[in-house]
Amino acid sequence: MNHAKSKYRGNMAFLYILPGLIGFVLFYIWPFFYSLSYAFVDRTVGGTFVWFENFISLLGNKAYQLGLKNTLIFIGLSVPINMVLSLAAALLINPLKRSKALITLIFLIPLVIPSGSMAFFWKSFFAMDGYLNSVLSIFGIRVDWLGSEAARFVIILIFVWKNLGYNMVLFLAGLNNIPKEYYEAARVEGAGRIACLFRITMVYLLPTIVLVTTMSIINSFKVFKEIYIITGNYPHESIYTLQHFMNNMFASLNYQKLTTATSYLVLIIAVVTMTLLKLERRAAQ
Amino acid sequence: MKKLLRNILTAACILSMTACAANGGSETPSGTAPAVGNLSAEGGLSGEITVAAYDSMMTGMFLEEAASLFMEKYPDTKVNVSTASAMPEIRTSGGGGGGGMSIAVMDNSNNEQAISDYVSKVGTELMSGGGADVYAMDVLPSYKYADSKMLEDLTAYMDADENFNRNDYYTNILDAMKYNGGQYVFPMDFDFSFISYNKDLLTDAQKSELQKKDSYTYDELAAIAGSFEKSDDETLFGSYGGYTMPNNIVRSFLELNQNSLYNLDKKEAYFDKGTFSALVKKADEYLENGYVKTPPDLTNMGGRGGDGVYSFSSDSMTSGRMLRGDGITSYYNINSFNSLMNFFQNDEQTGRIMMRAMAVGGSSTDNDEVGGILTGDNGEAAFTTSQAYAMNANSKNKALAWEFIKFLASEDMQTAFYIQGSPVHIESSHEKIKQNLTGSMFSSNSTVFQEAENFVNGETAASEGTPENSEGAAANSENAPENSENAPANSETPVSGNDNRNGGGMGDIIGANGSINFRGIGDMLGSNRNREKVVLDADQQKVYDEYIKVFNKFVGMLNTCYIPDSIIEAAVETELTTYYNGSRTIEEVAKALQNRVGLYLAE
Repeated sequence: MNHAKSKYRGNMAFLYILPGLIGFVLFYIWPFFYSLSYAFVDRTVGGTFVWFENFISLLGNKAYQLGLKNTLIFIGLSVPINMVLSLAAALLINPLKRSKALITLIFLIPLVIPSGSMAFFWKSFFAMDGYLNSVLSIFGIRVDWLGSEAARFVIILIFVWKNLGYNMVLFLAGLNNIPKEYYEAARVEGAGRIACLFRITMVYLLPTIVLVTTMSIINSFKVFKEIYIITGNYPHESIYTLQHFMNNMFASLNYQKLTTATSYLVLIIAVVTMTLLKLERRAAQ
Repeated sequence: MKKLLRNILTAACILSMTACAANGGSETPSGTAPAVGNLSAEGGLSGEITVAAYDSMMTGMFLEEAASLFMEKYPDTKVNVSTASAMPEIRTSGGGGGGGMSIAVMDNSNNEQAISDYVSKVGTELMSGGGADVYAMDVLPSYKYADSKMLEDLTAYMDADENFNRNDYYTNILDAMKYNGGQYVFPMDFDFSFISYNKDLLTDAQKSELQKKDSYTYDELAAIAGSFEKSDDETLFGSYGGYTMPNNIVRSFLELNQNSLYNLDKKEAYFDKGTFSALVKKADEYLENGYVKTPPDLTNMGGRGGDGVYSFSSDSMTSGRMLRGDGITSYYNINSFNSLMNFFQNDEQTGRIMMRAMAVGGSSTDNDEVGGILTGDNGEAAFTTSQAYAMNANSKNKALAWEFIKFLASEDMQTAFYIQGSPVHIESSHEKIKQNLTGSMFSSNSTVFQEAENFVNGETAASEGTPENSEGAAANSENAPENSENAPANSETPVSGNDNRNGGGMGDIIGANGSINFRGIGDMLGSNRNREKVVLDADQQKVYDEYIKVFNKFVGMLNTCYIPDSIIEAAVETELTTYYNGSRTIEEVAKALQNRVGLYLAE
């Protein structure tokens, strides 16, 4: 009787998600695999099957190498910075009683401001003759923020500014899930703040950390919107990322390079996510 | 449920993989000989093709006339012409009374957004395997399509077709348009500039120095002129009345030496090799030393006028107005080849009113003599084309598409009015020169010229007048009330299509509300139907013989046609702006451009 009931519930659940599933398959899964077919031919219309030639030649493409390098550097810098800062913010805000909600709201504001208007502000702030340079020129310093190596730090700043609140909220939720008894027991045992932090908080926050890392990596790709509005199709070489490469490939109708680059990206993200989940599972044990 | 999900996803993957395999398998094998020559030999061409262009004016009207003539010649064929740009609008204001009428031409075809929409649309069509059979390469990036193998290499067609002889054409022009060894684009015409020098300003020694060669770089010309001192009413190089817009001189340097800046075949950029900085600095020197004079009133764009290096301000009439200088004489003038004829004939032979109004380029005076053509520092002698066509590699009817392109390049169509440059078909270019010489470029049956002349002399009550006849308008102001009454009677509904082939009156051109029927102008100015070959009298023959010698000499030297790339041009333009407004040095700009363009080409 119970088995039949759960089977019925299972079937009903499936029926409920079926419409969404059909849409998802039709507009995401199917087009992805169909576009993958472009990666195996030498030209879009009437092309011949060329196995993995596109994949190999893409690795030798200078623009792709630059994009890949910049993307990895960007993720490698921005995700840890963002996580540390948002964890620190969450730890600082968590004990507060009264103004917690207000402060959380303030941190979430960057997330809801439209990218277009913010990009306009960033541009005028960091431009050669913008606000920042006019302040710095009092001290005699003038930096080409958007047209030199400094651009890397500009986009890390934009990314952290935008996503701090998001990660902070996730961490707050994770912190709330840690039972307070652990802390009390630890204090009784004589553990200091640092010991509490590393022995209890970090350990029980691990699932949240995995989640935040994954979400941060995903969000780091979304910052392309602002960068594109500020610096255009061909920015300085330090901020030319994979998305610029793929966007330009689409614009110049080179579907082969586009889908090959996408496949590599999907592969990398899948590997990273699975590694993180495995780590989490092992840690949970 | 998990099993069902897994099954669905697996099915999706397999389906898409089979679709891929099906795609891959159904390609047309390349390298087989195209089926040409046989069709026309049998006398029976059939089928349907589509020809697409952006420009609805000259290109569109040329194609429509060609299509109708082609369909008459081969009754079993159908040629569809589709164009994308909006026709210009004429707004008149000021009314028919009193002499102060202004006419504003709103040229809607240079709208950047419309052009980029058209390019995206064509790109999508090509990518999905469809699209027109023949494309005009007026705004499309031909070399990119050639790279993606979207355009057919016409060399095989040219070789296989017995009715096509490459030597009937200026082969250096055709060769210069090759890309990566393939003839993807067939030009219909070409246009080039030449230098004329003021024989009163140069000494005899300098003049004999000039006559030693037929082509010069800017530097060589400056060297020959010797010690030129900056003055208020003289300039070394002039165009359009003596003045030059600052960005024009920079663009001229960059275009003449494009091969030293980047190479589209090899996909390399050379901006940081020093040539770029040297050219921009040289342009600055030319401006400082007074080698070129800028119009006095350049208030916008940091004192460089409204136009960018490659972009033109929407009010192109302002630039034109700014450039007209009074009392500026130039040592050297840069003229369009269309005015080469003016150096060989007397005023009586120059032609009638309309021709003078449409004469292109050149501020040459009676004191000027022909010098040579401008080349870049490495001997590049450039030309531009106004119309060129390419075939879609996925066309379903390639043989017919080739026949149509061949027809466009044949004598039937090459003498059409819509070909703005010199035709690339040798016989037709000679014929056009003769037409130019005798003034019979326009349909001799047209009564328009008679009416226009009468209008200028204040005799006839035509409806709204031609722009430059201010005396005529003033003289006509008493006639104005009769004009406006007559206007409805005079104007018929604008003639569309091919009915009024042999020209009509002004009423066909200007409609009731002042709108101008451009098709009417095209019909009036010369259909190729029933056009007879020009016969020259003895005087005209002498002029022709002299002219053709110089013309052939110049044309034979042309060897480069610049493939414009809008992305590179936009990059150069934005980066140069930071140099001209002082925020960066030229070396920094060069480095930034090297990165940017290098990245673009490497993608």
